[in-house]
Amino acid sequence: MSGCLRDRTLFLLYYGGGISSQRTHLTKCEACAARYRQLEHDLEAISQVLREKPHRATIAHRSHPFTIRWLPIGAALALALVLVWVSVRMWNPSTQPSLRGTNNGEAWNLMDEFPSNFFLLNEAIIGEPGAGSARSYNLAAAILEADRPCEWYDLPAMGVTESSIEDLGISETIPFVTCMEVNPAIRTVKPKV
Amino acid sequence: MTHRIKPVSYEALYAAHHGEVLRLCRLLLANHHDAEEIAQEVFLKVYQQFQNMNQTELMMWRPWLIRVSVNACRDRRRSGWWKLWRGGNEEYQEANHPNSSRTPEEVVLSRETQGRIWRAFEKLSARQREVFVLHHVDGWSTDEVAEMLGITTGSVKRYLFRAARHLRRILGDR
Repeated sequence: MSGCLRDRTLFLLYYGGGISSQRTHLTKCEACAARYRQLEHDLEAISQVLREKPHRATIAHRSHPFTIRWLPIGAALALALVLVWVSVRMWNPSTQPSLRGTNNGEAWNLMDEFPSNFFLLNEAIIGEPGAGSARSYNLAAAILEADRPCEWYDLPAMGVTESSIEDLGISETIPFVTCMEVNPAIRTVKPKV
Repeated sequence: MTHRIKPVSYEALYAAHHGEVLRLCRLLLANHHDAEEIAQEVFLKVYQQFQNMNQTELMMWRPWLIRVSVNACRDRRRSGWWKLWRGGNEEYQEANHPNSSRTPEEVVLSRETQGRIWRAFEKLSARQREVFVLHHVDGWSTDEVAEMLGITTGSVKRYLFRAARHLRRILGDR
């Protein structure tokens, strides 16, 4: 039937609202009257369910009155642990582990000994194909000298011993860079011949 | 509906209204333990009010009790600790639901439907729950509910409509 009442209007009439024409329609229209009766029945059934005394079985009680939300509690505990750890470290700096005494310390020692200009040295040896081997060797020596004491530089470089330098025909006129020239910190050391 | 007589004793007041207050709190909090706790708090307030009252004073205890209970439940729900510790509403269990004391009409509602009604009810907003319980379960008129909750009658009807529509939709899915 056209002009039947909407659900909203039925609710309104149920709760004492609505206008007289709607009430009149409700008395005349069988379909709307049936819907209204169904609405009454449903609401009464819902109320009856809610009105019942709580059964232990109706509502499951857990052994603990509260249901713990583990996620926020875990997060709070983790945060608390981090805070405690940070505060302990801040208030007692002597407990800070010595890097030198650990494996990390050994790594740091190695890093200290590693020439800071290692890559520069590499470029000097490899990167100048046009220049002669003697010139490259000389440049490499200069670079190494900048980072090491002179005594270190007795080691053979690139498989070429010092004795074989003469065999390569390096001229005496090529200016060798000495420790004193490249490392001003050890100027007082007598240069090698 | 309203009780305009002052009970002769606190015990009489407790006996007359404790069940109703407990049920209201249980419905509003969806937790039996919390409901018992809040009901105790409410009756502690009743006791204090009772002590401070003039002996000849008439008191509308029932609306006062409902108002205090609703406010106490609202305070509990707003409590930060309650939100933090409560993982959700108590779960409905269908397996053990007793139906021996039911009328044939009530038996029509299957256990499953009852469970769905409870779960749907727990999903209502706090205000919708309060209004629905006070009107449909406790039997207060919309005007009385409006007065107790401090809202207009129109608002009560609006909340009722929304709550009823939501709950009825659950029944419609049978």
